Amino acid sequence: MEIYPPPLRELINELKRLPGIGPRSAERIAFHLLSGDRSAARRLAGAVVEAVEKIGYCRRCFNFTERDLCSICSDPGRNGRTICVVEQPTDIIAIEKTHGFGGLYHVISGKISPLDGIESGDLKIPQLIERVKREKPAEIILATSSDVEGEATSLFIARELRGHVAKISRIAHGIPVGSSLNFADEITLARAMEGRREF
Amino acid sequence: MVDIRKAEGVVIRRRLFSDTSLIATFFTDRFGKVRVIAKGALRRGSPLRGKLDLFMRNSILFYHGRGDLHIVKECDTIGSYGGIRDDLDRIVAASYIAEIVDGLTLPEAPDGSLYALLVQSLAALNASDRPVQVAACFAPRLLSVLGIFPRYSSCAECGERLEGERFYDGASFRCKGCLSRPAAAVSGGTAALIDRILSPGGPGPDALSPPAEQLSELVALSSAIFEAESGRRMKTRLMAWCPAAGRAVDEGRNPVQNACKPG
Repeated sequence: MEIYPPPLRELINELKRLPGIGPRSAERIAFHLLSGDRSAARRLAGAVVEAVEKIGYCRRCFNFTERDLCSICSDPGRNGRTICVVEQPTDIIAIEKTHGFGGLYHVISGKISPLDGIESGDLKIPQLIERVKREKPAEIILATSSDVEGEATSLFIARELRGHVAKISRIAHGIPVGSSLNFADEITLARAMEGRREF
Repeated sequence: MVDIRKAEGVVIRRRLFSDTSLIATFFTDRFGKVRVIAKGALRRGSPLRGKLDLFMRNSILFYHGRGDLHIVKECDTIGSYGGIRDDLDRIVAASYIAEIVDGLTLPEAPDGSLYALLVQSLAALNASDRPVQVAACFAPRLLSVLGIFPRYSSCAECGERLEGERFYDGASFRCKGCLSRPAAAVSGGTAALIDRILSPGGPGPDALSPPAEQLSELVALSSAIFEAESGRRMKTRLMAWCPAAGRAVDEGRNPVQNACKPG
């Protein structure tokens, strides 16, 4: 790395911090940005600065937005009686792509992990509890991931919200569409059997 | 020739390596603590998907990678401990056990007894309605198998037999007269509880009914020993998480642990 001029070294170091980018990829991207037409690199830098300065969090659900309320929270056509709890704003995009949910969301910005010392107060869970008490929704859907930390997060939220909301549900787990039972792990299979539905 | 190894192990820690790959730390029967990278484990259709979650017990086939990071080739689940993931207190209790094993073992130092105890503790937690108690009682056993549970029946300084209240100073137990630095009192009742827990063929954790104060003192003592030996803070706050046993006594304010902070 010493052979690179300091600004290039800095660029590579910053790129390496991005998820999924290793040292080789960081070098390749840096060289790509600096070779040939540099206007693309300037546009990229401008877009990063603009996003960092303009994008904040929705004060109601903590989704990304450039306004006070995100597009979902400010949409009068959404069903405000149902709140779907997700870990990250990207999970909202995944659910919205299904066109199967018309309620609101709450992003808790991570998941509880006792082993890593991540507790409810480190996430947006206290804000969720306050919101539920204030808005009194009819249903909370827990759409956290299905690993141990995701389950811990759902179990904790369910425990804290019991008595404050009529219905608390957890998204179903099962066999992915198009995959074989042979490759399913035993917990997924057990959950799929438990959650079977009648024809 | 590629050095392929086969072992049985429990996932005690895992973290994402990329969008589709993860690094899992296993504690195995034959090789002790082993870190493996599972490339593509989170891809849809991956045969490893769902098998490398925390506390899963697997038979694994792995080969030597760079440094102490190996590459997992195959993985078959032996025990999934589904009961643990269905209950928050059990998850926290299992995390406490996993953190002790991960924090106090060196990579690739085989310890069959420790592995057997780890499996036994997870099996006990899987069906227990008193997970905090189970974890609290297994912790001294784990520390004892690791050879780091201090001698608590006699003073480390003068050798006098300790009766009733004794003091743990972050390294050893002492009598009141031999204290030379801040130390925490451990009651005679908790010492008697440790006697029962560590006695060979003693009662199982579910058969014990210690009062909440002793349970809290026991957890705080185990955490203090962990912190003194590993030099790092115990992240899993067992008592603080679990309402039945814990909210009455926040271990963050427990005098035993506070008196014995590392460093």
